[in-house]
Amino acid sequence: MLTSFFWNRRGQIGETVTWMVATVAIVVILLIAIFASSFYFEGKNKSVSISGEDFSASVSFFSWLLTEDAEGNNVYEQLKGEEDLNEFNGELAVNIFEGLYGSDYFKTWIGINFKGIGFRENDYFGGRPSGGLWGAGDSVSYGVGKVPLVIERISLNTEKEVEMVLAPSVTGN
Amino acid sequence: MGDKIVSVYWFAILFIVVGAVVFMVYSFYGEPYDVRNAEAQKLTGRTVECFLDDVRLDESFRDEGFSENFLENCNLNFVTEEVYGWGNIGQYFVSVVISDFVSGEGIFSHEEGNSDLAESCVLEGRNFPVCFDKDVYVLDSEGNQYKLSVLSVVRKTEKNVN
Repeated sequence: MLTSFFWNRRGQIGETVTWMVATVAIVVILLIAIFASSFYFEGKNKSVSISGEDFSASVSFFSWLLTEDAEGNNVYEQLKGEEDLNEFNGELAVNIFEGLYGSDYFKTWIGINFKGIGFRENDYFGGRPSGGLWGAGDSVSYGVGKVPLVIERISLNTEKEVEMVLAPSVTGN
Repeated sequence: MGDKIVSVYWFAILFIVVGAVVFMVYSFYGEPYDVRNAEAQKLTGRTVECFLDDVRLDESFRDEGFSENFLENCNLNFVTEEVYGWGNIGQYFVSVVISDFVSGEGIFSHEEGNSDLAESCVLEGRNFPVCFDKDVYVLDSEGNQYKLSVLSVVRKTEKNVN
């Protein structure tokens, strides 16, 4: 009888110690979760902004296409008849898009996309921010996730289209 | 007796866990969303649209009385809720400048709203009004080249920042 009482007491003490340790473990895990979430969300700006479109840049792009040279040919007609940007429309594009939007975006690009071939580098803007074939490459990766590009496309004929691409910086434009 | 003590213990643990979950949810969702940037972007877009006829520069800004009735002409409404004393301090500001794209010569200029807000555009911090400016290359009906510059400022700090 005395032996039985002794063993029951030891069993109860063992169970109590187990629950005390479990309580400490639960509280510690909760504190870690609270501090981790507080640390993660601190400084996260819950700011809402419009990305993937730029109305002002789109208007500038259409206006650029309508701009006429000294002979009265607008940029759209020039691009339809030529293989790539020429001196008149290339320098005008640099003045407009680098001048007005260069500080807002990580990279600006105007160029021609040939069906079946892809985007062609040009002397005024270099290569497109994100490669790809016809209709592809609508986002760019900076190693921290994909960022949507601001894209405006106008078809020149069945073989090619002129495209404006604005690549935002990681922190937004 | 032992079972009763364990029940109390489980209730205590339950309250601790629930309290932690509530704290974590509140720490994220308790802070308001700051929509002033989107609002300023939209205000700039609507103002640019006001000066366009399709994609050409709308010459109606040259009409007499255009500036005096700017808000009506552009379908803008700067009226805000009567909270936080917003009725006494304007919460919006818009500035429009049209200049020759080549020479830079100014053609038109107008400011609407609380012009004091524009001074905070050089300051950084969530408690200051949000500024959004855009330039647009635009042609008139005769093909002349212009630069349309619009600056929009939205205050409304009390509702968007804790």
